[in-house]
Amino acid sequence: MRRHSQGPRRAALSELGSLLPLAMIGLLIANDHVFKFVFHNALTGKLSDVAICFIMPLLVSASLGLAARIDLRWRLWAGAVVTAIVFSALEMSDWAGGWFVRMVALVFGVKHTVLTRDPTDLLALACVPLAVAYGRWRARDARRDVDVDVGLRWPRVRGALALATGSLALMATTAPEQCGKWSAPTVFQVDGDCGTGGIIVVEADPYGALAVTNQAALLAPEPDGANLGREQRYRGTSCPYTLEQGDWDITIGDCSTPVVSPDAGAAPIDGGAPDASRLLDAGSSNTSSCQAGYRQCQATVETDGLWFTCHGADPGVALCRSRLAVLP
Amino acid sequence: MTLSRMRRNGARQSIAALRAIVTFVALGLAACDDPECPDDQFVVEENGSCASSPQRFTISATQCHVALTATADAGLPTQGAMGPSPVPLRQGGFILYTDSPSFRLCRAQRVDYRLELSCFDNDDALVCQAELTEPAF
Repeated sequence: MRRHSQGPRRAALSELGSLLPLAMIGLLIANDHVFKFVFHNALTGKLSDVAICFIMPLLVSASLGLAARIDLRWRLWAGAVVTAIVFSALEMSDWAGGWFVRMVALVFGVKHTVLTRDPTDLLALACVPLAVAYGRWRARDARRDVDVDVGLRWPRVRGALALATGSLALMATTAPEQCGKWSAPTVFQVDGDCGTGGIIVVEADPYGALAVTNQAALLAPEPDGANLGREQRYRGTSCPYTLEQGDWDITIGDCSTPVVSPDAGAAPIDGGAPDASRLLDAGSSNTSSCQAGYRQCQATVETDGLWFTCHGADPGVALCRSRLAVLP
Repeated sequence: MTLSRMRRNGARQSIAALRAIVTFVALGLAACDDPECPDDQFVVEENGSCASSPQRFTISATQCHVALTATADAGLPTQGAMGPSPVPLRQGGFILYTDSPSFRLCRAQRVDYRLELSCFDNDDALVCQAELTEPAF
């Protein structure tokens, strides 16, 4: 009698404890916490989504199966619907994303969760019906094992482990940190014509995004009314970051197809006075698809120290240069 | 296939799966780092040339970032960070910096029983100095 009432619940865990769901949970953990650090490309961006869309319906289904005697087909489809709604909401809704980040911070104490959104991620939802089909197939085997009561203890243990590990892995899925170690802000003395000159403090967050205090000393402010996007990133591979070694850049505005100058690769200009005509040209170029005021500035180590060099639409022509010296 | 053989096969597969999960979890944990800066907070009294009168506020370190609860009267930036070799907050070794109302950079170092802050402007000229001491209760 007892066996009869416990059977479907045992089977609920067993269908989750098979090799494919376990492999997907392993893939999710490895991708979120190892592969994204090492490779950080389009593939690692999609692997987690595929794993999530396969695991989540099975996890929800197993949880429902443990909680109540619900027909297998119903609980698998319930898992599919929950997955589709939650995954789509996190991909498309700011409110849902914010709620998820707050919940992760509350449960895990992780304060730097970043959700990366890409409409093509929704393609991973194709794995949801596959998970339903797999769940039904595995459940048939599990039910048969319940009937003969063989080999079910280990699948149940694996299922329980998968339920716990998979739930944690789903909650802890985050964008990769570029560097998890403490990278202290770097203080530079700036001399040159890109900005007013003076002292700046540059710091990078765990995702490589830069913040510059006293930015005007480094880079002249945008003209009034200009509303250009700005991207500031550390591009190096050191961890902790070595901002004094360069490999960081600031891009103002957007330039989808920069014009390649015939004299690209020419020797860099000296650090003399700014060439106002060049600046004007860069800001009003009609020959490229760059926004007016577009600038791309890079900090790179040269033979005589660290230099911050800005280019406009024409990457072969330096608009300005400033020398950066590290202050203790 | 006998019952005992089926059980043996199931147990073998389970152990392999357990090993795989433990490996993946260990790899995941390896990507986490222990906190490098001890979090701390304490009340200090400020004296010196940065504030027109003695001030009292809380200084705190959280995940290597430093914050003061000071008001504008303190004449100090309210945000900063530990240096490249973080030490406990009471040992100094941090900087405070701000853009508002104008650029200010203060370097903190431990001298005897107090923290000494030297603050500089955009031209790296010394603007003021402050001493932070823990009040005797």
